[in-house]
Amino acid sequence: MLKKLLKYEYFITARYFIPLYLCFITITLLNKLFKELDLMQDNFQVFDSLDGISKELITSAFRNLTNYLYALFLIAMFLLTTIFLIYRFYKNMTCDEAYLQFTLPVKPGTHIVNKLLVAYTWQLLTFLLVFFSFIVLQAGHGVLPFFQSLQSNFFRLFARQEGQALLLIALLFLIALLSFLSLPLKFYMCMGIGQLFHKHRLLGAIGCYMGLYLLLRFLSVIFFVLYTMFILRTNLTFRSSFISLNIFLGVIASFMLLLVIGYFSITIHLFKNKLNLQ
Amino acid sequence: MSWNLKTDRPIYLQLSNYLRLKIVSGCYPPGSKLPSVRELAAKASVSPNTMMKALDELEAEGLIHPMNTRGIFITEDMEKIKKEKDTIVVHHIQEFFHTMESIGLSQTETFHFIEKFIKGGNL
Amino acid sequence: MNPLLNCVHVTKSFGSFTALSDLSFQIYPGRIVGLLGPNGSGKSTFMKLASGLLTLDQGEITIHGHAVGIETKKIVSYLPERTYLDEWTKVSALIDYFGDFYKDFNKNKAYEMLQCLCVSPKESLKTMSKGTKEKVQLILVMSRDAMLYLLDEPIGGVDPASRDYILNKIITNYHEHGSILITTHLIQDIEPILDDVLFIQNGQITLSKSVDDIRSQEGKSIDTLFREVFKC
Repeated sequence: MLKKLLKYEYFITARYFIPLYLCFITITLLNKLFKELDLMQDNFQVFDSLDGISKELITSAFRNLTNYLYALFLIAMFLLTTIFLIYRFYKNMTCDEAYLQFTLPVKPGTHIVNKLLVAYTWQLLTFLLVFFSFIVLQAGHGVLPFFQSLQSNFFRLFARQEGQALLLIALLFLIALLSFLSLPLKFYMCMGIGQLFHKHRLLGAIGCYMGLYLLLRFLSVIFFVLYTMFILRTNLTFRSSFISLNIFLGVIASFMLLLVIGYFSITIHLFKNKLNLQ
Repeated sequence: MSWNLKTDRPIYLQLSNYLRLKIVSGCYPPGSKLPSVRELAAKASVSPNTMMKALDELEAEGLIHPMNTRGIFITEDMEKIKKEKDTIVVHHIQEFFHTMESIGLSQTETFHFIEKFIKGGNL
Repeated sequence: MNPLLNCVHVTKSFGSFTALSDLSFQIYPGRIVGLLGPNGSGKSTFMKLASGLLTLDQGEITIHGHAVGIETKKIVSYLPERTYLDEWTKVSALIDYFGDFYKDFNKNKAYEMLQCLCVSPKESLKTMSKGTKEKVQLILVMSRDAMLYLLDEPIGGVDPASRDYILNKIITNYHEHGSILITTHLIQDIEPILDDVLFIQNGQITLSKSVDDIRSQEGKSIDTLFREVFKC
């Protein structure tokens, strides 16, 4: 059943993301084009035939325009990805369409996993697309040397601490993965709580999210204070200076994992046992 | 002939009356096959269960014979059909005279009206 | 004979408002049953409970021996009052969707019925009138070979010709192992196709009889009786 749900979910969400990605790719390429033109003004004979104003127009003006558009689209990519994934869940799982979803012979848990996997995929794709667009923009201007120096510096830094280096990278990836899961799950859970109310369901969900946000902020402040007060005070000398960093990241990753498990369990419980469709 | 179902008496009785008329009048010829229960129900816009009940009545009277998967057939017993027809006619005549009586006409006066009506004159 | 749907002492409240209170009744296989009551009497609430969209506070609803859950969703075909389909999807994609998730869905039947309506499979709901949308939803629901059809106000808000069409579809899709439960307030239209009626008022069943019994015992139509019973 999950495979079937995934098939339809990817198809329907792609209707939105593909155009978004295409626009972003276009803007990236345009930006690249005008950047290159700007830099290669002197090399283009075409420009010599134009007077100063038109030359200025084509290079600087369009360059700036595409710059602004690129910056705008960058923000849009992340913002719209998140907003759309949340809206999709809201519309399909708590509004009229939920009447279809929850009468399918599918466990509510499977629905949640379906939405989560699809949300994870699109967030990852958005992230990768943005990352590669940076590379494209920088290509030919020292990208390769940049990565090469990064690599050698990295290895120099981590000499004789390769184990810790790998652990660091693994932890960073884990934290990134967990954040891709926890962001949508937070909203799903809040929407699950919001639908318990008979009136002001949306307000309930928003209020819940804000409450959660404040709670997490509060907890993280306390965590940092405690961490600096106690852990860093201890005179633990480690062979590797990265061990303490990895411990710190490990604690964060564990906490995030607990949160993700928590959000997931609560969300499933709500949609399985406390379904209250309007 | 429309089904013309009234709302204050059981539907199945009205359906069996309607079908009975169709059988005795020859609309559904003897030995012919009736449409399926579902088709009849859809035509009359009634529940198939109700139509089934009506058909059960007619079967009990011997006017129709279900033949398993082949369908439901009108009886070929001409005697029976004639008898049924006669019963219906007599019933209607009785009702008619009853109504005339309630208006205040005697049987003789009623006959007088009937004669005039048949001759096509002004009443 | 075992009842197909068994509702036993069901209670459901929304906050301080009690929608259903100690509701009990049975529906047997092969019956077309009308659940009739004024607005707010709990009809839709019961339909949602039976289809798994709400959870009970107390009591039990079993369909074909199973509690409401995945096993019942496989054999129950529910038509809600609202449009629950994605409006941008093409009708052919909707048919594929239903066929994918429901083993008892008959694609050919669905396409046949759509053809009668002159609805092209390439259309999406967005381009249709309200009446056509409702008919398409009904077609999808009735193309399933389900054991229990739950139709919540199937003819409300549609023109008389569409009503006839919908009633005709209900009759022609009936089969003896399955039952149909219909809620409506348009009693006059639905009355001829019903076998049994249940009157529901303030979350409780106040009458449970066959249509023929009511007509022969009371000498009135269900519509007339309803008006008398539920006079304000």
